[in-house]
Amino acid sequence: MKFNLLIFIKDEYRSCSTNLKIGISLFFFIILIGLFAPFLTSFDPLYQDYDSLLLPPSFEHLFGTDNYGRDVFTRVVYATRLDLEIGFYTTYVPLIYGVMIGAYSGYFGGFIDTIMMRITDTAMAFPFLILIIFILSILGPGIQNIYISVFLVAWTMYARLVRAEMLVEKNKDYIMAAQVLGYGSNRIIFKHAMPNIITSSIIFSMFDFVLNILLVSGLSFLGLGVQPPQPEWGAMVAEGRDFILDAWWITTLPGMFIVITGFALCLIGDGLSERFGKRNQYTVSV
Amino acid sequence: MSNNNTVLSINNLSVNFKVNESKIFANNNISLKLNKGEILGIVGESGSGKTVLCKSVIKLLSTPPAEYIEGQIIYNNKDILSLSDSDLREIRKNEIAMIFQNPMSSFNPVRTVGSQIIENLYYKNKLTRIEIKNLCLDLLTKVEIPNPELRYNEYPHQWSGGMLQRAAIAMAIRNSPKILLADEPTTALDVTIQSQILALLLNIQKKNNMSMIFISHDLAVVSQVCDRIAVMYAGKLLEIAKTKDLFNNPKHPYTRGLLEAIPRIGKETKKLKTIPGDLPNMSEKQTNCIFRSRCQRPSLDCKEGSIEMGLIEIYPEHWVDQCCVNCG
Repeated sequence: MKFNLLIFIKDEYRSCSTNLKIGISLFFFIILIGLFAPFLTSFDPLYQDYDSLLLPPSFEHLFGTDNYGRDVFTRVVYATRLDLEIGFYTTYVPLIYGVMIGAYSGYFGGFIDTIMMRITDTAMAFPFLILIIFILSILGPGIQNIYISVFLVAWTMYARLVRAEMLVEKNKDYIMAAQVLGYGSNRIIFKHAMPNIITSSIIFSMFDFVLNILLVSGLSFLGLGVQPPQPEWGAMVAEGRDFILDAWWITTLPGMFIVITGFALCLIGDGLSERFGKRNQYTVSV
Repeated sequence: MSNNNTVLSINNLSVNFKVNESKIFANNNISLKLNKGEILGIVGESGSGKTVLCKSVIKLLSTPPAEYIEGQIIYNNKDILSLSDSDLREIRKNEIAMIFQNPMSSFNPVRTVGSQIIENLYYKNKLTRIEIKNLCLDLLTKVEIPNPELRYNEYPHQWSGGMLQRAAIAMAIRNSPKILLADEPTTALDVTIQSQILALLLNIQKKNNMSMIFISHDLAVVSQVCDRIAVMYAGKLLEIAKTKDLFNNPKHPYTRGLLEAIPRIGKETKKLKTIPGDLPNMSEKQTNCIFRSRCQRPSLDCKEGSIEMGLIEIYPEHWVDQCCVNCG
């Protein structure tokens, strides 16, 4: 039986739930907006036009203009790039080493496990945002420092998650069978255990993605994140709140984009958990 | 006692498990020899330490709960229990293989059966993809899987238990190991498949002249398959003999009880014979006869507790626990 990509995609498409389909198409749409930003608008996101301050939405300015005369739609579209980039890095870089640390400490146990788990306990004892703000207040605001602080803290969640799954999985027969065949522990961890334990982390990463976008937006809102001229959803919401009664579009429309992105990612997370869950149930019950 | 024919000898092995401050004495002073090309059966009721013994042979028990208290397992003039991890892996790869009880759970559910079989072929020899695949198909044909080409890309849940056990056997024999440990390989299968798997195992064993340790609690299976049989009870060996001797002339009261408990076809019995009592508490170290509480006619020496446990050879190659030789 040869592997047929077309049939594979068809099968996958059929077994996906509606949630997943809607979520993926919404998210794909947002990525497209980010990719084709220069083609969607003719304005410069940083250009200040003092002849058109605080204009309400019209055909020329779809989302209106802000207090410096910048086109809000252009800024929202360009901010998509930055927000998705930050969300992606702050989610998937910690996932990689968090999963690795969790898998190793779950599989080997003992001294390393104890040290790693005490570190995660300490990190999880504080609220995530407080810890990030604390590190940022030492390093100073900026995108680079957001990366550093999130990389320092965010892996603990994944390490915990994967370690718990690994503890269950490592006592199963097929792991012992792999040991009997003389495989090394790296091979057992990454080739045999990993496909079984990573699903929950992937599902969680979808929700984490949303939380991280909200985190960056929140930090920018507080003035600790992206610095003023650069367009960023959270920062734009923060800038517009002085004019919320006169010019509602400056805060509301970027906020709507945050909501849509979060919505799409949550749908994907839900759909994936259903999809993986089904597959897991299926193999276990046989 | 030792000769050139011996492939594996277990000397005075004791294994404990530490559970919440208390200890479970799973194996106590076990000594065994495995000869070349021989099938050694280990029988005993559940919880008598058969599997622990089998796993100890390749040091598979994870050592925080388990402790190897004393004893050696000599293979190739080396003590397996004191080998380094990398040496141990070499032995597991090439010399000693194992088949598990439940074939359904001994395969990784998220990977195809074919990929799991070729993985360890890749590992051993540096061959090209096509050569490896052909080797794998050869192996699958050897264990009598129909349509290996088609079956190759399927997942474990698409295979039946018997087929998976065949695939497990294929993986175990791929490097023609010297010793095969079969830990109740047919318990999870139904009777017709069971006989097929047994025939296959015997066939392969004869062809490769492997030694085999065959664990089971099914006396009928053991009597068909094995050359010698060891009877285990509460972590101790009670009797070792050739299959014929053990079935015709059981010396230990426990063995006798086991044999009497088998229902016979054609003989009408109102009630099956049983051995009264329960297994002794394994968290207490027993120095005297462990079978005394269930023995129906214990000998005088046993009652007084003047004899320690230990095997003696009463006939050629028929070893029985010395305490119980004289028991009724």
